Amino acid sequence: MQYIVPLGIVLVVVFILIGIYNSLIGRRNQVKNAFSSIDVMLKKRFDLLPNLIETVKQYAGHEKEVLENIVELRNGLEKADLSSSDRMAMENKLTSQISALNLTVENYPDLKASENFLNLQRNLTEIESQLSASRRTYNASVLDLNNGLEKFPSNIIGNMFGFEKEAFFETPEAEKANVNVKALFDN
Amino acid sequence: MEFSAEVNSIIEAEIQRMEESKQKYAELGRKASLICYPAAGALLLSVFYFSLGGFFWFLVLFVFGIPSILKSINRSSLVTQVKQNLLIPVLGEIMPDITYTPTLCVPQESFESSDLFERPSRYKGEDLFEGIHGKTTFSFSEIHAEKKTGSKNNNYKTIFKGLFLVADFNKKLANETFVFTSGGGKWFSKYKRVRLENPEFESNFKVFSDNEVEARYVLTPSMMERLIALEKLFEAQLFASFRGNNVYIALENRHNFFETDVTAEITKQVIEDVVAEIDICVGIIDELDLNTRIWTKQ
Repeated sequence: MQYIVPLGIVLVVVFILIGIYNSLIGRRNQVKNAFSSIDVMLKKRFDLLPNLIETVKQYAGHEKEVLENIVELRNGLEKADLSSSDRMAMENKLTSQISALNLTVENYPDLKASENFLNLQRNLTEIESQLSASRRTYNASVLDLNNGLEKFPSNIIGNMFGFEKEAFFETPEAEKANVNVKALFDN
Repeated sequence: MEFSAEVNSIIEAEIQRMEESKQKYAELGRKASLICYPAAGALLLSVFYFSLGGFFWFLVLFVFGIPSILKSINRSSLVTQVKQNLLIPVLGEIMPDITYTPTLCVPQESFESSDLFERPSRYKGEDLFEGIHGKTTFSFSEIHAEKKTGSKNNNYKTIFKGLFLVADFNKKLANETFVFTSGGGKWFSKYKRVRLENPEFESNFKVFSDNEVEARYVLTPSMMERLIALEKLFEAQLFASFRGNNVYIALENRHNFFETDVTAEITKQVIEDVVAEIDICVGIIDELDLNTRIWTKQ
């Protein structure tokens, strides 16, 4: 009889600990899930590139530098052994190159009027806005996880089981700096 | 808002006719008072004198009430006249892509498919505006939706009263996102609460969605700013849902939209004010930037 109260307290504490542990696992999985939604969009963009390059080549062959950069980055992304930070850096570079390409388009009225190009541009805008939404979701999930790992008492459980804080997704510099591009993509 | 000479001439001619109708109604009202009040007095004396029963009391009240009844009928016929003879032709001139039907409202099915409020058991509304603004199909009207609360006939609770707008959304939607003003509407949802980055938006609204990524795809940083601005502009509580390729905006505000005070003098300014109000409502489409169609959905 005398053990019931201490036993009850121990049980309650154990259940609380299990709850906190499970919530941290949930948050960590949410971060992974959000990351994979970024991945889906990046893959879509990746698949669109050959088509984009071909179309632009037809009308704007002079823009060799930008086109070559895009081809190079795409080839780089195909390598399987990239670390995730390297990959994200390359994807960010790709974003800025695509933006640069979009700006040079202004000089080629034929390209701008091409139905094929317009279609590609719409697809790219769509992907970029989905990508931006995915990044924001990822950052919100990271915030949620990091809050859990810093706040008391879940920080204790986090430390005990070796949970690690995740880094936020930085907006690519090109998107921050270039107002024109932002207006085009950030809607 | 500046009107063209043609519109001004329509307004001036109609205001003239309206003033004549008002004088006619006022004259009628005076005559009715002159006849009904003494008649009611005489009836009352007879009731006392002859000690008459219940029905005669009712008759006294009825005769006494005739001038007020007449006044309210006249008022509503003037309101109709303003809408039919003034607003419809004026709008036809200045906003030819928009159809205005004073007696209709956004259909109940549209209101229900917003899924923002409970299913109403009594639904009415007026002043339906519909058409295409830029590339966006839209319709909006005043709505009063109520729900029966008890077994008695007249126990109704207001679910929503204000301006309700349905417009074609410019992005493809596969999921559902709801924006509720804080402290209003449903306080919980079957969907997950989505936390967004804009602190002002977060303190003004609660967002629920079945897909976090799509919620953020719809509620871009600029869309959040626009919804905050819209709520301020209308001094209303804003509810919005993004589902089935449409955006539904409900602005809860007890203000009677698109109505003129017919008891006061009807001037060109009054009509200008109503037109400006309609213009602001159509402007919601610009405000939300629904005409920008750079995504795959055109």
